[in-house]
Amino acid sequence: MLVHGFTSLLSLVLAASVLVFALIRSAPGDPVDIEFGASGASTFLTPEEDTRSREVRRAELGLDKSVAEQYVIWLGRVVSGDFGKSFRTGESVLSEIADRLPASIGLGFSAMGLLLLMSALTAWLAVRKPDGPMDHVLRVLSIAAAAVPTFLTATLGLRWAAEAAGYPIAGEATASRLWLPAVVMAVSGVPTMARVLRASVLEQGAMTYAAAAKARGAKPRTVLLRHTLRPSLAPVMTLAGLTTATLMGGAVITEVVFSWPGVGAYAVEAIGAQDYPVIQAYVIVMVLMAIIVNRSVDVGQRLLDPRTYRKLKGTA
Amino acid sequence: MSAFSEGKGTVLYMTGVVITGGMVVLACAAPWIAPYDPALQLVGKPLSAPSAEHLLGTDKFGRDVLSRVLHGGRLTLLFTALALLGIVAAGTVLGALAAAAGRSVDRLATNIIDLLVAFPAVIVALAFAGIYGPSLGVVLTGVMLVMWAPFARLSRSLVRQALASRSAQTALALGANRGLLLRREAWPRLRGPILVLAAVEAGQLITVVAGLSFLGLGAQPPSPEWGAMLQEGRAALWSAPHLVLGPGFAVLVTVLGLTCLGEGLRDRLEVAG
Amino acid sequence: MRGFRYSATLFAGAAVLALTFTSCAGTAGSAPPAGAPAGELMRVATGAIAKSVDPAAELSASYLRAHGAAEALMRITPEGKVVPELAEKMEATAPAEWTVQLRKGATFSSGAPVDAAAVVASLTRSRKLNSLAQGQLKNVTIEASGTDKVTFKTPSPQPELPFALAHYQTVIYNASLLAPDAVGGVDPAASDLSGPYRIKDFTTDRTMVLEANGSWWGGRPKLKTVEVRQVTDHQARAQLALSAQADIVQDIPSDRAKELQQSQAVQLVDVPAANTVAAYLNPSSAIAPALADVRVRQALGWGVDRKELVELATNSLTTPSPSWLASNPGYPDAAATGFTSYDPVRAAELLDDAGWTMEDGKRQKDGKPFVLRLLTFGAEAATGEVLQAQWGKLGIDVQVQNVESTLITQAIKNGNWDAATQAWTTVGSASTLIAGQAAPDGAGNHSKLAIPGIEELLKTAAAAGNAQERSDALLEVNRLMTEYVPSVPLHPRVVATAVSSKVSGFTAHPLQYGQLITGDVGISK
Repeated sequence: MLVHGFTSLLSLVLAASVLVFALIRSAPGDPVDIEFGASGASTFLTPEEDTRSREVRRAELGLDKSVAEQYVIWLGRVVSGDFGKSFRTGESVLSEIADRLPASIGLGFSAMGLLLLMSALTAWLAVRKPDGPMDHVLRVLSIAAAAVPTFLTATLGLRWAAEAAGYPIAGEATASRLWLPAVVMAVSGVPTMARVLRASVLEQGAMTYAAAAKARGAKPRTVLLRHTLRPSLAPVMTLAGLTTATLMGGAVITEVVFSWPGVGAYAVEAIGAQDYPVIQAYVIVMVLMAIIVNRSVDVGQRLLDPRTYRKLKGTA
Repeated sequence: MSAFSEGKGTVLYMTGVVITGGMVVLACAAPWIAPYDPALQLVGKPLSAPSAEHLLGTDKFGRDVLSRVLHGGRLTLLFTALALLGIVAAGTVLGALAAAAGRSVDRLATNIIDLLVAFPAVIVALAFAGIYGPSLGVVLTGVMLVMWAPFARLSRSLVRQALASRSAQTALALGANRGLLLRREAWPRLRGPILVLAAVEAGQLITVVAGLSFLGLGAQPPSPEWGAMLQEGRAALWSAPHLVLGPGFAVLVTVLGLTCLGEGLRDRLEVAG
Repeated sequence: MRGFRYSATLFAGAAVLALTFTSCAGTAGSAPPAGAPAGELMRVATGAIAKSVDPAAELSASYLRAHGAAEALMRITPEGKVVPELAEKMEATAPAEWTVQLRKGATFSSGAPVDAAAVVASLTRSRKLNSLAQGQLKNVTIEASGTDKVTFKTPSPQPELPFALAHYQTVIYNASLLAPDAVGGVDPAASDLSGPYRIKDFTTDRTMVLEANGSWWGGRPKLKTVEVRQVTDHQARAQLALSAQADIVQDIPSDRAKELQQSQAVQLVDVPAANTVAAYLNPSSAIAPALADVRVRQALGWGVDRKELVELATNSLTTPSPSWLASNPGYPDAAATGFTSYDPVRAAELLDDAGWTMEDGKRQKDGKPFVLRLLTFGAEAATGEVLQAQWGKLGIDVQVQNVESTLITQAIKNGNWDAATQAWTTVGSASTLIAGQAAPDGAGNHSKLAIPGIEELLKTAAAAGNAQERSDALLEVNRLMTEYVPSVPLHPRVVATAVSSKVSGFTAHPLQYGQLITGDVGISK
């Protein structure tokens, strides 16, 4: 099982790397010109140095070799963490990304945590009386929430918080600045998540194995924890995976509006300057993160679903 | 389904139809009903508040906001429709092919689709803007490359169900044409759910593209795309809120209409989940 | 569903735990900067900070100097006069020779002396690695004579050399700590300069924390710490000023001026910048071949309604600039030798003459439409959008793209551009500065046009013995620029700074890269 999981992960990563390589090489123009000529790398170099380093780069990239060989060379460099230097700063892209990644991850996890917390509370309110008023409010809210774009709530939220609560508009990634973007990002996902959680709990509660356990005389708490809650978390898990994707995308806008020093805002600045090494590194990091989330959801689901769970136990 | 939820479905559905239909009519009629040229500067005083002359006021270049919102709607609905057509067609066909093909192809396709479904479209669009330069077309292409996946996933699972049905199995055993079978057995099951998903995804598409324009990576000036207008209006959020109200309300209502349409359709067609 | 309540509580509890954990993780490692007590910390927000601590890197020295972390031999006062800074005095010792006597006891922040050898080393390095410094010190022989004297010899008399030595790109630094043939680097320890403040902490694209330089020759500066933060988002910057979260906010977007003017706690200081924003044109563009025709370039110049432009694009925070030199208050006659009026009729005639005829509201020639890509930077995005509309009225399809300044520099370098806005300083050594615009090899002559007779005129201006002679020559250069149009002059850049009422000793500087933070700037509690 584990071996299979690992090989599928590896093949996924390899397939993704081919796509990323194709995307990067499909940029109009000569790769070295893109990296150098059209670029500010030469802003930091004398003309002689510029010519020399272009030739070095050409050899490094193996541009005279076949595309397959070029891909292998490229992959080797990426795997060893060599993303090159930023055009704008002349600094290593890897260290600049590493510098900003904690802020982004911190924001992402906080938003996710808030989202789960608020969803659980809302679902609890709704599930107390299925098809009751709270249930309908929830549905209307979820439709409305889908219609409000993050950039609108972010802009309004920032303005309000700065004037009413003295929210620090710019600065480092501190807790005093974290809460607002996290709330903005979380709020948009709550209604959908709460709805799925509610539906899932109601559905699993009616399942035969839950009823059977109850009939066997198990305590209600045991029934809920072992037979209802765990399986009902599976669809929530799927949704959490999807929500992570939405959060990763939404983070870009939120980071820009809140001047949050994360990778999203960094990427947007890099695009403004056509800083290709940074753009490439950002894409690679994001693809890796998406794959990790995707696989974790997969594994999580296997563990949560009683049917696959039993199978796993059997094979182990 | 209880009688109540059927009624709710109809209300939702009708709301969706009215809002979406209204938006389409307004957008189509934009060149005739917009009072001014959307790019013409100084048709009014810069940043003037809503008045009889300019119902939604003017922006900092003295352009009529109402005209811009209307033309922006035309642009938004046009690209949404085109992009949607592309991703629905591609997703449905690829999904059906995966289901009809052998096991190994199906497994590979499922892996790719699952990954893409969970991949943020904004980030692909961002990468595209970075590589090919910011423009609406580039950003849309990026978004489309990801957003076909939910359709493919839906189509794949429904086609598999259809092919596994008793009638289909019998037909296959009797040597029926596979293509014909797909059309006869699978398509009727597919239509409804795909439509529901399309309505929901259309709303997503609009929000994502508006967000990218908001970052300055999508539509370029003087395009009255709603996200780009919101970006401009952000400066005067308090001193001239009408700049944000127009396009903000437009995005809100359009996406709301599409979501209602999708949810309503789901209830009416009794599509699960 | 009693049991669900229990599980939801459990679930919520887990979520709270996760949240607390991650928010702690988020804050770890990013301690709040500089714990200086109120009254000693100045918080500055600006649109961009230096990309590197190396003063020879593009624009780095301008930011370092603006915030009190770099000095040159001379400096330009807010009144536009040139006075000694690291120099004790600067004298013309021969017709084509200047001698600088260095300030006694001046040291770099490391304690190393600012002596003649250090001056020669830093100017030589900057000139070698930076094209702007190259322009300022072209053909100047720099020699140390003794430990505290430096002589500057020029092929012909250069009365305006003191201005060149006041330029931000000729700041003096300890070159021995930096690579001799490459620029860049972000390690504050490698950046050893003089000035009231020195770099304590530097993070590219984010913050530059400066601390008082105890060994500064000018005495003890008033502030302990200056925290310069890059806030790229224009609206966030304006918001910072409005909510008093920063004491000095640079580059206030013009569309927020009204709100700031009404605020009690903040003062909006807005001086006309001593530079001219111009749309530089590329006559050898492959995409817009029309620009090769001088009549087309002239049409672009006459087709700009500068009054409407400053009203719409800058909220009237600046004034029109009909010619390049017009933003220099020392040359009041410069406007008359420029595009004196908005003349769309003349512009249309010029385009017709050049063969670009109007069809369905669009100019075209041989079936090809007139398309022009215009790159803008920062606040000039609005200027670009107005130009797009105004040139659009002439039938030209203008595509505007707002990008970072380095991207404009690159595009110009590799030749793949049609038009781009930039703002070059006009106050200083006027003859040197205009040579940068008009000479065929000038650093700011992106058109690479060789205007007939321009070199003789520039020589005359540079060597002129009296002000009248120089002024006449410069005005003629300015007129020729209107005739050949290497660039279309538009308006001085808006320099709007929001200053908290707690700040004392702040003087607005008309130079965009003028000294913002000096030793005299303080803050009350």
